[in-house]
Amino acid sequence: MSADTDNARIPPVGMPKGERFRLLAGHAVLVAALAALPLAGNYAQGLAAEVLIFAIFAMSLDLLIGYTGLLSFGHAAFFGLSAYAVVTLGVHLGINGWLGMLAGIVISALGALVIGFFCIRVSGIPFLMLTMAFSQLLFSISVKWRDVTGGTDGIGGFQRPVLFGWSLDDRLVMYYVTAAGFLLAFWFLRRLIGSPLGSIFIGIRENELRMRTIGYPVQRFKLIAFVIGGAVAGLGGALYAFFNGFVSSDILHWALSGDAIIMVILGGTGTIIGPVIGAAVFLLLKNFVSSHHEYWMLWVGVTFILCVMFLRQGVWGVLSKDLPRWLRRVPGRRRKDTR
Amino acid sequence: MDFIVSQLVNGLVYGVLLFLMSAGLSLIFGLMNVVNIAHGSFFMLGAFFGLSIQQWTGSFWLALLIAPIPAIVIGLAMERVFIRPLYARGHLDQVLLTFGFTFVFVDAVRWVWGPEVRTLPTPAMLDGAVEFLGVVLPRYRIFIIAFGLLVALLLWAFLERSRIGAMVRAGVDDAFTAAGLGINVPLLFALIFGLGVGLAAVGGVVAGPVLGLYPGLDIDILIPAFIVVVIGGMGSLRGALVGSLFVGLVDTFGKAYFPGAALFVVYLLMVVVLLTRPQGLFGVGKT
Repeated sequence: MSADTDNARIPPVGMPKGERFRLLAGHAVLVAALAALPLAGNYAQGLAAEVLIFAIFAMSLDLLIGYTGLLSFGHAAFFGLSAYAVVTLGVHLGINGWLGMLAGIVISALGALVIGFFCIRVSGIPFLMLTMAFSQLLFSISVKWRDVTGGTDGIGGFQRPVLFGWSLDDRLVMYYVTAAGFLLAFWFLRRLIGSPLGSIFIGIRENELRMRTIGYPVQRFKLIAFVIGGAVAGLGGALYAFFNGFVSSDILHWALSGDAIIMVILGGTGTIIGPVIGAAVFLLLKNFVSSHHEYWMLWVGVTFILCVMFLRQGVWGVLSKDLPRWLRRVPGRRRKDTR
Repeated sequence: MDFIVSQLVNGLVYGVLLFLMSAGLSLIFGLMNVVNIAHGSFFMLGAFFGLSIQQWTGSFWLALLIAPIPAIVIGLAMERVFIRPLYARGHLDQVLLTFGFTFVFVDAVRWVWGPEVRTLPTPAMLDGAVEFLGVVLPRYRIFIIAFGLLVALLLWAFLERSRIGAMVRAGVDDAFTAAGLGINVPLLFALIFGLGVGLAAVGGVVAGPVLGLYPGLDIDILIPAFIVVVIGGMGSLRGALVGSLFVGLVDTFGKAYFPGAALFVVYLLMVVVLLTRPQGLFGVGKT
C-alpha cells in the first residue's frame, strides 16, 4: 500500500513560488467551476450536488484508508448516523436542520469514538471485518427500530432549513450549500494532512512499529483519525439528509460503505482530490449504466476489479503522473535524442 | 424443557452452518493472510447451483454432491487469474479484489435466478420429525448437525493426520520457511482456497432448505462468519468450530430470551472477547 500512495503532496511549507502559484490557481479554478456549474442546467446541478456530497464521504474515508492505513469497511455507519440524526430530530422533535446538522456531526464523531475504541484493538484484516460488522449492526438496528427510523421504508417529511431567508427547498440554494460544505471539508482535510498531526497519521501508515518505538501512542492517534474521519463523513451525511429530505436504512447498508471504497480506489488513495474524482466517475458510471442495464452493480464490480489490477494509482494517479510523463515524452524529446 | 432442547438444536444448526463458512475463511486467512470477502458469495452460489441441480435431477443428494464443483472451479479460477498475480503487491489489493467480486456475484445471481426468495425442498428421506426425549425435532435439522460435525472431524483428520495437512499447518505457521523447505506454497494456497470455497458452497446447499435463498444471502452469512473468526481466532480450525457453535447458540438463545436485545448479544460477546483476548480465543496471535 505504501508504495502506491503519494508522499510528495504533504507539506506546502517553503514551497517554490511557481508551485504555490499553481496551487492557488488550482483552487481558484475549483471554486470558479463549482460556482459556475449551475449554468450547465438542472440535471447537471442535481448530479453535481450528489457528487459533492459523496466526495465529502469518500474524502473522509481516504483519511483512514489512504493516509492512516486503516482499512475501514464500515464507513457508511457515520454517514448514516448523521443523516438519521438530522431527519429524526427534525421530523420527530421539530429541531431545526442546522442544529440537526451540528448534532449529526457530533453523533457521528461519538459513534466513531465508540466503534473505533473497539476496532483499533486489532489491525489489518480483523480491523476490516470488525468495522464491517459494527456498521452492519447499526444497519440492523435501523431496520428493526421502526418507530424511530421507519425501517426500510424510511422517514420522510423533513423540513429543509432556511439560510439567510433562502430555503434549501430551492435546488440552487441546496447546491451552493453543498458546494460550501464540500470546500470546507476539502480544505480542512488538506490542512490536516499538511499539519504535524497529518504527518503522524502518515507515519502510522508507513511504519506503525517505528512510530510506536519512537514513542507515539499509536492507538490514540488511530482513534483520533477514526473520529475525524467519522465527523467529516457526518457532515456529508447531514448534507445528504438535506438533499433528499428523506432517510431510510439503505444509508447504513454495507453497500454504501462499499461504494465509498470504490470511489476512493477508483480516484486514487492518499490524495484527497482523487476520491472526489472517484465519486464523480462512480456516480456518472452508475447513472449511465443503470439507465442501460438493470444489473449495473455487475459492471461497477468489473470496473473496480480491473482498476485494482491495472490502475492501482486511480484516475488521479494517471492524470497527475502518468499523463504528464507521457505528454513530455512525446515528439520533441525523441527528435533531440535522434539528433 | 421442550423449548430449550428445540432452541439448542436450532442454535447448533446455525452454528454448524457458520462453521462451514468460517472454517474456509479462517484457513485461507491463516495461510494466505487474505480475507476472502467473496466467501459469502460462494455460500450463495453453492445454494443456487444446488437449487438448479435439484430442479433438473430432482435429487437433493446429487445437488449436494455436484453443486460445490462449479463453485470450486470459479473459486480456483479467481485465485489463479486474479488473486495470484497480486501476491507481490500485498494483501490489501487482494482483499479489494475479492470485494469487487462480491458485486459481480450478487448481480450475476440476480440476473440468472431472479431477485425473489427461493427455498430448496427438504429431501424426502429427511422430511418429518423424530421424537427425542419427548421433544419433537425436525429430522433435517438433526442431519445438518451430524453432517457439520462429520465435516469438522474429516477436516481435523485431514489437517492433523495427513501429509498435505502437515504442509498446510507449516504454511500457516510460516509460509516463507515452508517454501524454503521445498513445499509448493502457491499450490497449497490454491488447494486451501478451493477447499474453503467448496466448504462454503456445501454449506450453502445444506442451508438451502433452512434459510431462504436470495441475492444478499452472501453478506447475511458473511458478517456472522466474520464475528465467528474474530471470536475464535484467525487461522485456527478449532477456533472456527468453537466460535461457530458459540455464536450459533448465543444468537439463538439471545433471540429466544431477549428478543429486544437479540441483535446486541452476539456483538456483546465479541466485544468481551476483544477486550480480554484481541487475537481471539484460539488465535495464533499474528497480525
